[in-house]
Amino acid sequence: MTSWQRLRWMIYKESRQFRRNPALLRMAVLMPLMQTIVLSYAANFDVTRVPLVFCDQSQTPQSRELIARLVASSYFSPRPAVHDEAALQQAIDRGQAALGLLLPPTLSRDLVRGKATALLLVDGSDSNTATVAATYVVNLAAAWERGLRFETMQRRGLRRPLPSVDLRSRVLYNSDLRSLWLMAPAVLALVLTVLMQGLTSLSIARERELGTLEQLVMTPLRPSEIMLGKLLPYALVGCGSATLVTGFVVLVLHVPLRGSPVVMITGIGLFLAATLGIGLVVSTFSANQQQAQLGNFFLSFPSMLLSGFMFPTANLPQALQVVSAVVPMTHFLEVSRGVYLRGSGFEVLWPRLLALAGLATLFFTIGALRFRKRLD
Amino acid sequence: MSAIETCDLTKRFGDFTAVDRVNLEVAPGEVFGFLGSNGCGKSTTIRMLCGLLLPSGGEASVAGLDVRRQAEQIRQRVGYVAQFFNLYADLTVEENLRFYGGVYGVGADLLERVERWIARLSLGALRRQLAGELSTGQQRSLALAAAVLHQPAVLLLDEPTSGVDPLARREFFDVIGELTAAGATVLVTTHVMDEAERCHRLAIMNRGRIITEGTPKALKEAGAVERWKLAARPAAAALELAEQQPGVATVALFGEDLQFTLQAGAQPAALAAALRAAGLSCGEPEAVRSTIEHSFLELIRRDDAAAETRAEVRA
Repeated sequence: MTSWQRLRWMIYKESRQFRRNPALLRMAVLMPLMQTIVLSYAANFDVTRVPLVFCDQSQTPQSRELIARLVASSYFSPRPAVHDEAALQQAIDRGQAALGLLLPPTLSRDLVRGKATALLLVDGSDSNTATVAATYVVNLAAAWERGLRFETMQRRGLRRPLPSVDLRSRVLYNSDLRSLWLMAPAVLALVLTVLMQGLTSLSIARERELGTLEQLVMTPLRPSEIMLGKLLPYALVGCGSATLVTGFVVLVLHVPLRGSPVVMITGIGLFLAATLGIGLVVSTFSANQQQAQLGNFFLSFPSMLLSGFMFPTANLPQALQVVSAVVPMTHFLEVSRGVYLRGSGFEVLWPRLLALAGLATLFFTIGALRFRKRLD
Repeated sequence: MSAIETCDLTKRFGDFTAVDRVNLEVAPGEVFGFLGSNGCGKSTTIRMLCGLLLPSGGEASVAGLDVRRQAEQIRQRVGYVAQFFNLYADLTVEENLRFYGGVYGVGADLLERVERWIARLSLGALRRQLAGELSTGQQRSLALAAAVLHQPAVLLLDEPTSGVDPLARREFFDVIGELTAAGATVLVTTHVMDEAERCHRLAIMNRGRIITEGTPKALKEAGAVERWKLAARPAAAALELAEQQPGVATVALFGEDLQFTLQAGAQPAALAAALRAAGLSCGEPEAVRSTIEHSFLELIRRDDAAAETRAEVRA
């Protein structure tokens, strides 16, 4: 049975202490903004201006046409041309270029025969950039090749072009595939995790460390009142930070919030509860603030890696996918990105919201079971 | 009905028995002192009485409530001042008191009670001061006020006056006197002897066990041993010789003088004679009035000696 009077006094105490701690205030306001700005701009997976070096041994109108097409696209930034394969290789070895395109002397002749080969060297040490950029080259080359074939046919007096499949892809939701649009909704997950888990676990570990918990458990306060009294003020701080980050993302970064704010707020609320629960669990394993800090560090890194924050969860091995399912961030990222980019509603996101609610309950139960009012 | 009653109360931490079959009975309105050196089990006993630690064996009841099954109800009836300052250093004096009064369920007259205790413990000028900025004595006063706002039936004080100057200590015990006069029961641990003399009854604890209990006067007599002092120069040489003198039980330097006790049948003049024979300048032995501290140390010494004998017998 929770007594509202006792709970109210617990909240009174926590809020006074929070207000009196400038470090916490700074953490609650500055950290979310800093992380939003830094992550939104720095965590950029977009591939533009990839250094590309050419070795045109063909020196024909056709080869020049291909190079012109590549240079004209914004994806590449051409480096000074070289004249043999060894120099091409060297440019990549030295990191001057990520891609090297060799057009052999026989290119034009082979094209006429309908069987031309060119060599594309790719620097695989940055596999993400290299793969994407290589695809761009292949696509542009294919377009160029189609153009050549069309010209040839026209010259031969064929009216109709040869039949070929024209495959066009259309990217839904984030048509420019902008990283910013993908990252900005995710930053909220990171900010709330660090803030909520940190504030809760540190605040309880601090009381244990300073001995004030001994006096606190001597009072008629029940464990649930102590926990709620600590968590509610921090949940309010979390709501403030969420508003701050969302406002910044929508108004300053111009990432559109396509879906319903109600779905978003539900997601944030459940995610807050789950992260507070984790903070609570961490605190019950920590005798002092330092241990709590390490515990948070220990947990937040894997959750970033396993939740799809950086890498798609589909790439994870089966076993880790299971772990990923108990990371609240996994589900919140789906909700956040879903609402922001796809405009999804409850009818699509309810399994994720349900998972968040389940995890929140799970962590609170573990925390409550471990948080005892005895010292031994 | 006793305010505090224990029967063979025991606490073990692994192989170590911190509290060993302690039996206590404290009457309502009594100030009961718990005497003993650090690590003797006083704090552990107190923590069991207020439900912070679960006993490993035995029974205990506080204010008529069982510490195992009714720990929650006990908390409402007990006030606890810990050995170290456990209130919030980042809250003011006033905020700490309001918070503790509030969580103990003090209702409409909370602010009035806070005012009364602020006035009684001379904390008025400090009401908006952060508790962390107070002196040790002021922090102790604040802790006491926080522990009594809800008018507990039993007050458990764990070395409440360590690090407090004698004047503040006297005020502290004056307040305890007022509380017991109003019907509260106080259990206080201490190793300060002038505090012990202000208790109605005392129990001496050594190595987890209560070795004796009684009024301060009774304990003083129980541990009383004839004791002499002797002025001898040079003092260091005199101490060395006295330690080897047959018939001398204990000897120590108090200031410039030797203080010693004798084994049965020995004469104090024999030591003076021996010292003079060794060429030291030496006065006449004078009897020393025994204090409670002497008795306390003597009783502990006897208990340790008995334990040693028991251990030897077993070996």
